Amino acid sequence: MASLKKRLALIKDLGLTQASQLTNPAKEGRSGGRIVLEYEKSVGQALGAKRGQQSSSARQSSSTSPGTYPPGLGAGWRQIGQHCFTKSTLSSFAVGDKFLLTIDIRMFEKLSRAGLGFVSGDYAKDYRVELGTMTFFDLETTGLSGGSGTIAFLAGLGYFEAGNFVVDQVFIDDFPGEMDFLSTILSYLEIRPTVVSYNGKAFDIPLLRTRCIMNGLPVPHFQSLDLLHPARRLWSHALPSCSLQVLESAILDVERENDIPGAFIPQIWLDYVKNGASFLTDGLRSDEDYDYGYDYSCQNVAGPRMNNVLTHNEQDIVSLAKLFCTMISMVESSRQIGSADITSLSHMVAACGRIEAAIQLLEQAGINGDERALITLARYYRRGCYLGGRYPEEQYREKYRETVLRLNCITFDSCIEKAKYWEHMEKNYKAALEASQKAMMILDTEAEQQPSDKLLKLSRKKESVQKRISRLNERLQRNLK
Amino acid sequence: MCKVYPMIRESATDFFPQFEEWLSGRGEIAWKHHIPSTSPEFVALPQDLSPTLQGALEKQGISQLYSHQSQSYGLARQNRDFVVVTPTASGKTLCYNLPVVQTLLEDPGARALYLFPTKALSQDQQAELNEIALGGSLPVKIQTYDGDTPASLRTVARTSARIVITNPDMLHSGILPNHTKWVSFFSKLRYVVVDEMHSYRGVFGSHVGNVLRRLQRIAAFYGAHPAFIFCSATIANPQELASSLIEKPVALIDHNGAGLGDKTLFFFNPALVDPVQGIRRSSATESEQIALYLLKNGVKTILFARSRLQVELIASYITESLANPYNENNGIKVSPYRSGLLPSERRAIEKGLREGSIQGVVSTNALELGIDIGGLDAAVIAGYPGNSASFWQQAGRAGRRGGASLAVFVASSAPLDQYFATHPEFFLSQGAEAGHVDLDNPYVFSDHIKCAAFEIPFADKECFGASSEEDTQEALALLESEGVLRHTAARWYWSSDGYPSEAISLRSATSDNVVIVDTTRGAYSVIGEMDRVSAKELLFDKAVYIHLGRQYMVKQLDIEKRLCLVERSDVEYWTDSITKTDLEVLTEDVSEPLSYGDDDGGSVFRCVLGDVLVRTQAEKYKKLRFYTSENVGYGDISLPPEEMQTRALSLVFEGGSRAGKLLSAEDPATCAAILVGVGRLFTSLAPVFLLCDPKDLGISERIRDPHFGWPTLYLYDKYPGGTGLAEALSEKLMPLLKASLERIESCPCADGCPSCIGVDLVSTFVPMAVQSGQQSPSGQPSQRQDSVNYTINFKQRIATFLRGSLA
Repeated sequence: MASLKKRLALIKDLGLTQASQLTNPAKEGRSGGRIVLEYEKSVGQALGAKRGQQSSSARQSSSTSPGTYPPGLGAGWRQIGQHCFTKSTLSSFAVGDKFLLTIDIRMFEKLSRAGLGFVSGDYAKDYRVELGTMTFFDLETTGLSGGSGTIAFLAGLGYFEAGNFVVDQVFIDDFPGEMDFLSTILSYLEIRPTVVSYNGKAFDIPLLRTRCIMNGLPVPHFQSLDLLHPARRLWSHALPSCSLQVLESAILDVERENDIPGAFIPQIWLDYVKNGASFLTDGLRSDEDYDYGYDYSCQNVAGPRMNNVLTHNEQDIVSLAKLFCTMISMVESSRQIGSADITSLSHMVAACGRIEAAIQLLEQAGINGDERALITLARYYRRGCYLGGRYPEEQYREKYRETVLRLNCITFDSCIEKAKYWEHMEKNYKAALEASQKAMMILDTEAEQQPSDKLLKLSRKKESVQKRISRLNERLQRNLK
Repeated sequence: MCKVYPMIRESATDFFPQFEEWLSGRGEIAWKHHIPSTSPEFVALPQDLSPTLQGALEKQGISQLYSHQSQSYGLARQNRDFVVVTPTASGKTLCYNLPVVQTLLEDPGARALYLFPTKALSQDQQAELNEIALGGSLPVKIQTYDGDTPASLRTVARTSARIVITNPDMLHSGILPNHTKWVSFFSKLRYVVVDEMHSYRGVFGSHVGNVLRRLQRIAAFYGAHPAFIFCSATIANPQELASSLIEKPVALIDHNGAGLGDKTLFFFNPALVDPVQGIRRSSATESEQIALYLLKNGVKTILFARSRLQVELIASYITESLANPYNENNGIKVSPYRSGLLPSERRAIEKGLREGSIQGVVSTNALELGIDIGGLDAAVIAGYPGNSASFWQQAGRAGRRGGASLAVFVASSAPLDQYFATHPEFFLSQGAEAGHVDLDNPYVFSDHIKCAAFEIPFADKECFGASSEEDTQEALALLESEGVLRHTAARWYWSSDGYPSEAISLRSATSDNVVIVDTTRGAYSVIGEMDRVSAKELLFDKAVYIHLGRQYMVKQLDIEKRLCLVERSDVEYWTDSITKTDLEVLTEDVSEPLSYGDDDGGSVFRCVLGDVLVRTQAEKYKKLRFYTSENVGYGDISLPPEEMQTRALSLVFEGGSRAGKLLSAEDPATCAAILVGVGRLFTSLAPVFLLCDPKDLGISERIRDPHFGWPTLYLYDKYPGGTGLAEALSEKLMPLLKASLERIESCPCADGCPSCIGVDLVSTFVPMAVQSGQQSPSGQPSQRQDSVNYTINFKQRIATFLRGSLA
């Protein structure tokens, strides 16, 4: 048999690929894409100036001579390792003396538990955290699907300092810089150990752990607040998606210019690393740029893509902080912003131990005909609110009755809530049976419209309703006898 | 483990004579083989076995071990790598469960990984392990980790499971690329158990060997060096295969200390319908009838058919025959079981078999491996499954728990089956096949280098597994030039936003499966999936696709989107595609004239071993009527061709060579007929000598090859890059030629039949000769097409040609 080397070379010469190496259809549009990054330092600096950035002189080294920051990235970068750079930016976002506030982080707890007013064991002691000890954290990576071959090349670390919001960034311009990169991040997180992120629980933080393991660094442990899930609970019904960018424009009133879509970021860095040397001389735009299907024409001022990524990351951090403050003020003031879902907001309020305020919110929404709010309200009264009892205390009975009778019985949940009421409060099994049967009908109609992968969940629901129906039938039979 | 099942078998034993009588009335029992029961060899439980584990065993009625179990325990406890080969139902699982669980009990941090080739096997194994562990309430958490595992249990598997059960595919695409989430698992990994080792041969084995290289590389990264335990029921070269999979020497345990159950094997040859043309009743139909007879007599039966299509057809025919609305089909339920069913559908069938709500099952080889479905009394095998390991596995599906059982091999008219009909000694002596892997197949190798680089960057001078530094670095350089790696600071970094293992499938040449979507009446539900290459041959536009007995017609196959839209249909036919193959020689690595040294220095023909480019394209399809398989029409297929580079052995019949002279004496049509006939004999007989599946070997013939300029027969590996088949063939050519000659000489047919050179040589090649106005092959003027004359001629000429090619 021919040597492996010879045969590999043959495959290479012939340009043959195995079927499995053919491009995925989903990625085909980008397969030939190669980004030529342009290098024009002065413009980079101009861009920085245009954004009105001011370097925080305390953190920034005075030296900005060429060579101390990675090629093409504009001013403000300081080299801290062979391939590792940092930059500190004072944002225009400020909170005044609110930075001294302590935040009740229980509001970010999972809905099901928070909504019922339970206090999770984890938070039983330390649920008040100072705003000043929080790090707003976001990583830019070489891949979006994770795995141990995906690395982070840019970290945004935001924090409040004397009422001002500062964004520090750590960047590497090649793989070997990773060790410096990670240890810098870890030292930041050590100082402000509560990490606020957007989808960090599923992505950024596991990735950071992975990178630490790969580099033999101790795996960090810290408290993590992920705003994605609360944001989804509050706004997913009102918005097309709950990406940070969508929330930004819908809730925070922030508009970005020349933002780069997140999906392109990995390839931009990989191309930047590969072409780092050549693009210094070859600054021409290539037609292949347009393979990305994204219009860059607005940036013909030598638009170094990498710079856009850096800006993107910085803006993400600022928006993250703004979103965080918005959520907190919503909960503190029991006030709805951006047509947030009242029920979810009430859960957040309740999770902080302010049950009365939560009930007020729900009552108000109930008056306006919010069925979901009414159901939740009925549940609160049924359980005797924070008393957690199974049968309502006398003082809540009347309220419970009133609330349940206001339910319209159009949704599954309201039917079930009514069935519970009739069965347990009034012992009216006939009415309870009717409500349960209606719930079943609703499920059947839903089943017809659902894709098959949701059917399993539906069938579980069905099973539980079926149980209720047969129990009620049994009780009716017994009563007849 | 010897569980005692209720003696439901006694009735089946009594029933055997009646069955034999019935069977011999139906066709010919070519031969019968009785395997008597043997008695077991027992050894006391190991001294160091913990009392809790001892208690758990006693609860299951185990107070002593079979000798091979005891030997395994000893080797495993010394952390030796070893392989156990004993027949089905000899208690192999205890060979590894016992030492592993004992070690896990002693060392609370220790972990073990169990690898099974299929998901169904993993599930079964977990059930069995739970019985030991939980039955004896041992503090050892066991978790299956595969595509069906819900997210919540995945975390359990990663963090706290002591034994993780998975399959190579999941290890490859789910676990290894995310090894940092498995730190506690990998850093204390003590044992890797590889069961059903015989599944890991050929391409799949070569992939799995590379996955094991990656596994060991990652374990080493975390400081662990696990011991490997391999198990198999049937393999001729266990030690060789196991040590090539992990590239280290392994110890061997092959003495079976367990007793064997009594088994009778019938070799059934369906009745000859047309003795002249050598046509027999279809093996599928006969199997179906035999299974039906057994089922009606209360014998739980499994029928193995050879393709997904056959499975569906046979299952639906049986169900139709049983149809009786008044007694719920006689209380008998039969289900198809094949790949392409959704996991939940498969689980339901397995459960039905186990619990007895299903009495019969029609399966492809998805069930042949040791899935414990229990209680089956008879196995009916429709046609030779391609290798003897599969055959014995399938036959072993019946009567696993001791007691008498029967297996019926229903011969098809394929030459191999007919060869076996007359050569029982050959069939029985061939025993298990050997398995070979080529971890350095360039495609497989570079695929896994890619995955390995993603997992942990390679260092300069690092070798992947036992491959040479040169090969590893060369492959890395190749990948860098493709742009997926970056070489800097003496390391090779993964430098792409992709996730390499996602695009690499261990099972077939291509991983991008086509999803099959039922769109009947505006619905949109996924009913199955199929690999791209098969999809081009089975799911072309207007193809009839049968799924769980339901018929669908393909509305649209979108290869780009990997999507196939189908709709329920009710036509009277099924479809079969006709593919065309083109070949191009890329290299001639070895080119040697074959000579026997007994003549005057002349050669017989030339053998060329090298790389070729194979282009296949499905061009047309046939419509075949159900039941009769009569051809009721054709249609065109317009799909892009598949291209691959692979290894081939070309037999070049040069003008001066002995075989070449024989061919050049013939007219082109006869020459073509001879090559086609020889090709057919080779395709059907080669699997026995090459230890491969018939589907793995491609054959193509040219009467005047554009590359060599002479009549040429190409025998190529159907897997990209080759898996060593072409090389093995060059060594086994003589026995193959001999067997082919023997087959054609011993075939009783007059003029070619499906059991030798096929029935259509005459109809295909005689008109060709006539049309071109040439002399007929027999040398007489071709005024009338006397097919008998020609046919005898073809068969004889092929025999003469083969004889001339032999010493």
